[in-house]
Amino acid sequence: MPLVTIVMRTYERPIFLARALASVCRQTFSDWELVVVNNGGAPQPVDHLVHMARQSHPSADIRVIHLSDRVGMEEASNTALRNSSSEFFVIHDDDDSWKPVFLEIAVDAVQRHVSASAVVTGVVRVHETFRNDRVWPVENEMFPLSQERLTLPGMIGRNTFPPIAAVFRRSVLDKVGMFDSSLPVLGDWEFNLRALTVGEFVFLPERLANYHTRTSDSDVAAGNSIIVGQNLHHEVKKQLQQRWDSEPWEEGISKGEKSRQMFAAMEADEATQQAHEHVRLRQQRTVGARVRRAVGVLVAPRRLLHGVVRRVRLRVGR
Amino acid sequence: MQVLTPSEVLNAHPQATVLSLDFFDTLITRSVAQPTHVFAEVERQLINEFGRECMGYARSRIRCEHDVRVRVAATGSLRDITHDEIMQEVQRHYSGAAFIERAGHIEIDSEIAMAQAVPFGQHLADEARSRGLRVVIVSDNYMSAQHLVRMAHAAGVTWVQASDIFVSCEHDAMKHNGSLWKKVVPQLGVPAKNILHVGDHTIPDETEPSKLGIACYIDSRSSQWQRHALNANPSVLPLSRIEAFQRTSDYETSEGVARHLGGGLVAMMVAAQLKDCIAAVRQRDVASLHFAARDGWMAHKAWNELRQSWSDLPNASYLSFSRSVIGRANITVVDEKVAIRFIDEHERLTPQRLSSRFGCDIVSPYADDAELDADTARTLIMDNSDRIVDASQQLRQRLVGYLRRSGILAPGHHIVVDLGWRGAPMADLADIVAAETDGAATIEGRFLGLYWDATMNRVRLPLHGFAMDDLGPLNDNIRLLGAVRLLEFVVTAPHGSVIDFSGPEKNCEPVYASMAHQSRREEEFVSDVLDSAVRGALQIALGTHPSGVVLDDITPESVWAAMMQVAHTPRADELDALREHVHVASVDHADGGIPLIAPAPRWSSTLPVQWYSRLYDDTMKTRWFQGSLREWERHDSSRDFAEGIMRLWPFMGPVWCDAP
Repeated sequence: MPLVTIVMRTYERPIFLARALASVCRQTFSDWELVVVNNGGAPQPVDHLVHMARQSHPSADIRVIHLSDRVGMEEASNTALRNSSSEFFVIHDDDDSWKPVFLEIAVDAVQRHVSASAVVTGVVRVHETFRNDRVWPVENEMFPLSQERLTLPGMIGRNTFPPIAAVFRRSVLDKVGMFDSSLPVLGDWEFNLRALTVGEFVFLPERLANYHTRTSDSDVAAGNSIIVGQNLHHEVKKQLQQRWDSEPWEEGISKGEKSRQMFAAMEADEATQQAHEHVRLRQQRTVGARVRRAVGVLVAPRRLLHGVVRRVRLRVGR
Repeated sequence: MQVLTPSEVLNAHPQATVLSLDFFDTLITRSVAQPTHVFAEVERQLINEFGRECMGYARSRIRCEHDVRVRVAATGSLRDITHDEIMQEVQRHYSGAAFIERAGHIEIDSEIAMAQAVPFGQHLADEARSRGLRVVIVSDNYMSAQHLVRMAHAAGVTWVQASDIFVSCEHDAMKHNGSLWKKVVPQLGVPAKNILHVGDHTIPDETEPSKLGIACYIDSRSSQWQRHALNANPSVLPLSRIEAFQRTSDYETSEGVARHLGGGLVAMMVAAQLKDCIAAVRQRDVASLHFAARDGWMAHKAWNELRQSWSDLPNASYLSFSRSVIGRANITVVDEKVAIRFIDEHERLTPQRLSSRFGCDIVSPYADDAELDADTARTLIMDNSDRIVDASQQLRQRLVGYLRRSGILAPGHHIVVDLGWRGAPMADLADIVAAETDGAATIEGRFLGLYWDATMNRVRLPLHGFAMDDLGPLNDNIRLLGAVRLLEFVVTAPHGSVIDFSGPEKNCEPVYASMAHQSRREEEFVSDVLDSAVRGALQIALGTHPSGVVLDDITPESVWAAMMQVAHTPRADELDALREHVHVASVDHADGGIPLIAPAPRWSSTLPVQWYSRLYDDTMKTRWFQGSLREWERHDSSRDFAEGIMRLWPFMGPVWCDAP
């Protein structure tokens, strides 16, 4: 039995799937099995890519589960988890990627922290554009994550990390149940909150996971669920908070109310930070423009001279 | 710089009764190419002892020393800093006194373990002593005289005693500002005119002592091997150790840039290709192994020689392969997409050259030698679609004959090794192989580097990037793109690219592009690189490299670091040597090529910022970008422009070793 099950849900995104398979196959840690859940998409492209991965990595343990109809993301994960029995599991979305040492380091950490539900590594958010079957990175952003954001108070307001960054202990499933398959989105957030009640999340600051998101000018089919379905996320979040209204939290506040409070606080905090950043950038631009003008005058006397001549010509009408 | 022998230096100063030597890079050096790489070694050991939290220690250590220097200088003091002060500063960034104490010890021990005598300085000291001169050491350094003695003794320079050493941190003064010289001269007890000082830096070793009447001689050969100080992590060590070995042996041989590049960077790249293939063929059954294209030539040669020692390695073929023939063999219609692929927007082509490029007579209303712009040429080939498709299909038959002969069409899984960068020609080859064998034969591409455009080809064949791939950091993806022209130039074969194959009557032999455009100097350069690279890679693989670098040191990280050390931060001698060379980028390999290093644009200091983007794109596409940038930085007329580029695209600054 392999030590780690990697669950990869996919639907009609062969280019991303090929990249995700490469991300798994190049791991320096080798005691894993990969369960690809083809969530109702055409089987042939998935089989072809998995066949290629097996050819180049014959020792890789890769299975494919073809679902005849498309189900929710969480049900797809549960299907894979029900069909595996490893000690640890990871959700590797088909558009994300890892550094080659992700599993080696994260699995070692979760083995050492025996009371932890999960280990979460630092994340790089890769903004990329996908158009006409071509994908190219646009910007790397250091995803904000800390130990504080991996606590119950830190996560009750909203999900603070993407699934690609976490290695879970399977025993958590026995204690808190599977992913909630009734949720079309945010199932990982809801599961994380339950998992936190039975063990802590240990944070490893090294950025070993890449969370890929598409820019707004990308082809729509390639979009992330969180970007494409923002309204849906909002709706499901409200439903979850209503569900939690009956669950008690500290100081007589319900879990749902706490979630709303914390979310509002986070939004306010971010708005303040954005405002400060905006001011800082404006100042930087102003200072930069002044410096550029000053430096321009110093390094480009010829341009200055041309400017003076042009103004004189304008004034005297040539 | 005119280089004198030790005897000539002493003969030129018969009045000298005292020889004063600078310590580092004149008498003693380290077995790494630059001082900050000692901290890279410290970081390596700390990671082994304390874990990955120590990643980035070398960069912190360098920053801390800088910060302490700035703080002391701000007080107006003329004194040097001490090692203890530096370690106290390091302690502010790392918790635990035990850790800091251990880090300090490792640093001292590493300095001693890495100490080597500089041949010139050692011979000079020996010669002076044999002539009866007193030899002393005058050094600006944060390490104590006792520590320098231990280093000198470890390097085999056993005559050195603490009483012979005047080190800045023990005298509250520095050579650099002249204050140490004012203290040293009275203590030597001879007039300044009877002192000869030899060092490697102009200000502390020539300008300041000269003011007191001391005779001086500068030999900076050792310090010229240094690259950018901040690029220090454990991955830099293998190339650094090879370059340190080259530096020491170069005192005697003056082998030149081509042999150094070949024996250093290229040897490591070839060794990486060997290591990658060895792992692949030993871990699983593969139908065959092929080193493809010109950049597989050296690895193929080294592989065959390695098989003489390691008989379990399978035979491998050299597969003549280029994007030109693979692309043409896959043409089924000439549409705009094909026209753009085969005719670059900057090219000006004659109908005659188009005929040669597509292997058929292009019917044209223009004279055979009329130069056509890209749009006209593209229209012309679309008008000749039928002829081109016919010629392409015939080429495909010849190519298939060659592939069959090479064994790659036999049923099974085949490994094809290439340098990089997108995998598109390899994907085209995979399509041909699959089509010709009904899928019975498949191929896998193993590369040294891939960048983001490889992602779309991953659905066509398995692609592996040893040192870098499209899943790597964005900045590294771009840095690789900027370096590919240099890497293609130095990792190559002694023949031109394949542009066609003969028919079955000639066994489908590859037809290579003429190398007539190549100058004699370029031929010699490439030949020197080839010889040194194959020899160096074999030594690394067999564990006989004189630097001590072995195959275990050839990791994805160390090969990437080697590529960046040279391609991103070239030394002045490398720029000087490479400036005259060209890279042939045209798809038919039929022209004189484009110089690797772009000249700075005219009036670069007054160039409007809005033009920078276009220049950036053009240079990135057609030149060795970082080489061009570093060259522009060297000249007053283009330095501002280079700095402007680096402000807009900071990842193109000299520091490629990003902090973790």
